[in-house]
Amino acid sequence: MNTAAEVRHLTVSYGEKPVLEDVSLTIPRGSFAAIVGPNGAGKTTLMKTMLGLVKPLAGEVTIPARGRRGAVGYVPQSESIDRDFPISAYEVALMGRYASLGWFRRPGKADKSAAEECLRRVGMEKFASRQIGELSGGQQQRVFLARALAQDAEIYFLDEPLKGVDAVSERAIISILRGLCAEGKTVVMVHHDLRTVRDYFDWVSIINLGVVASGAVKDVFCERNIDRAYSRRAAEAAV
Amino acid sequence: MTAALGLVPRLAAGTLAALLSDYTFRTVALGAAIIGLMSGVVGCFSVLRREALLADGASHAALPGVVAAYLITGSKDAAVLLAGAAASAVLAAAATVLTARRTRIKFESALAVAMSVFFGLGLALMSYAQRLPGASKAGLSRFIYGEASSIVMRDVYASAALALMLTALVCVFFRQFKLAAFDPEYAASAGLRSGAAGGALTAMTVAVTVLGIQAVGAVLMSALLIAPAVAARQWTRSLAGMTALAAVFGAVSGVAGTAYSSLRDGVPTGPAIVVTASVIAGVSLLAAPGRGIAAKLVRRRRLRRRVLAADMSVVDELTSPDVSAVPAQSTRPDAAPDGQGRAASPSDVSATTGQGTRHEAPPDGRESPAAPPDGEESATVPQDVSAAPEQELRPDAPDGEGHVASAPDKDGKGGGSDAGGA
Repeated sequence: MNTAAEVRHLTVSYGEKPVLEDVSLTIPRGSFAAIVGPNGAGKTTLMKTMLGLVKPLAGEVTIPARGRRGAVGYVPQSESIDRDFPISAYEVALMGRYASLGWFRRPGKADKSAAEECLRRVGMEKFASRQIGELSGGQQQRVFLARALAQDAEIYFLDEPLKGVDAVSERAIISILRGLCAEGKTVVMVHHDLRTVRDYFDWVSIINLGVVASGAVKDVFCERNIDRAYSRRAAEAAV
Repeated sequence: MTAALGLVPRLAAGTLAALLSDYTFRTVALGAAIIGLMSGVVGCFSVLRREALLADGASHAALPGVVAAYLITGSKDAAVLLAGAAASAVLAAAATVLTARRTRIKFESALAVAMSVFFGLGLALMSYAQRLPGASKAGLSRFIYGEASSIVMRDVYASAALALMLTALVCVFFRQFKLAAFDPEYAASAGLRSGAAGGALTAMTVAVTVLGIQAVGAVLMSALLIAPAVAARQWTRSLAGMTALAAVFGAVSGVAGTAYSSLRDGVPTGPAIVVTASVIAGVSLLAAPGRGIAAKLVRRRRLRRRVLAADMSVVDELTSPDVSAVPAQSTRPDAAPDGQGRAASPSDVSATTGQGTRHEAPPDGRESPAAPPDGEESATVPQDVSAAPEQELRPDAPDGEGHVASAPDKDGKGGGSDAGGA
């Protein structure tokens, strides 16, 4: 199996209590992978640790593509940004080209048209000159997706990109991501809606503090594993 | 009367000419302008990165360094004193960061503690130093409230050099700084070293703050970073525009504040500069088109009038006696009921169109559904909408156009709930 990302014995803690404990999983190249789990299971933390934004207490993350700058794309949750920042949707999309520019080169014609093209792909071309704060959460999400697309990454990490997104946008986003996977790129996504896991993804990691199950959706996405992940919290609370 | 009116500008022009011909004033104003310019530029990034408090901490914490440098070296040289200031500002920053990292105390709280401790220490040291012979001549107290008149040509050269360097840095690495301020996590994930850019921004903030305390004073220096940036944000939609405008506002504040304090004996320069910057910020917050409070109020009133007009036309239609009571009298029995309603009350047609509301519909259209239930929230949404070019608005406001026109025609059950719930 050709691995796009591998996590080995990862333990992460912000305070005294671990948020993730001994997490090990692999994500094959070209897969459309979901990270699911109950609230507070550590999904976002796992993603941020894989991205290198959070330092783990122990364990390691291997992403072979990381050798090239810009090979890792990230679509953060839209609430993580300052809505009052004076920046247009187009400028945000253009940021996706920064990684390939180096320190001094300014974005050229090709970069600009790439940014426009990516806005078009997510259906946001008409909002190009809008300020980021004027857009709805779902629209912001799509602009961030355009930025990641403009980056032309090998592996994409998306933190709940479907949160607060209407059905039409959801379908559009999913079809774009599927297209990426068809090109051989890997997409890893924190996902909340268990009902759509089977329809959308081919790989799933079910986590809750540790890994409950991780593998192909048809193999591991079963009632028993979901129950184990989602009831552990309830069981703990009862103790 | 006219002569008296003419006298005022002539007097003002006279004093201005007198000021400009004064070498000391020119030096001081130039120095203050350069400091204001740098504060404006750096302040934009501080404000957007929510690090404005850090500048406040750095300026307060610089005070003991100034006095300690004097006590140790006995020098009154601004360069020596400012070196001390920088040292203690950095020390305070390190203490803050360490405290925040090693304990459960939050960054802001740690900063507040470090700031007060250092500032208190500075005041204590100063009252001790003032009692030493010759100390009063060193003019240490100028670092509290600022004394721009202590700026000499050499200081101007030094700050001009720093300003040049800083401007060059911001111009060359503008892209990196923008990304570091907007979304440092994304930058890090893409393998861009936003940490370096962020660190550079923080270092520039501290450098400008420390340099500025001689003119503006430790107490108020942070205001000169924040006020021009806040003011500039009101007028522009791009970071480049905001930075440039904040630089201008900062420089103008520097010159105007210095002029005011030179004309009025006893007004320290720091407060004069900061008051000028605050007035600019206040006017911007009130009067800027789009984001200003006044513009928001106007839009809200206009919207309310339009919604009311729409409601009233529905009410007219419902209460109009010839519609429901005597439909048989209509000259056209086959006409649709709502067609009759409109024919029966031509006044409400003119009420919606005559006021010119139809003309304004596209820009305001988007706020119409949201406004009645949550007024405060919606007031922030449309502000930017009206500033945006019209053609972009259309796709986002599918229900906006023609909403008013259709409201009266829809099922008459209640125009109010229709407008609110859509």
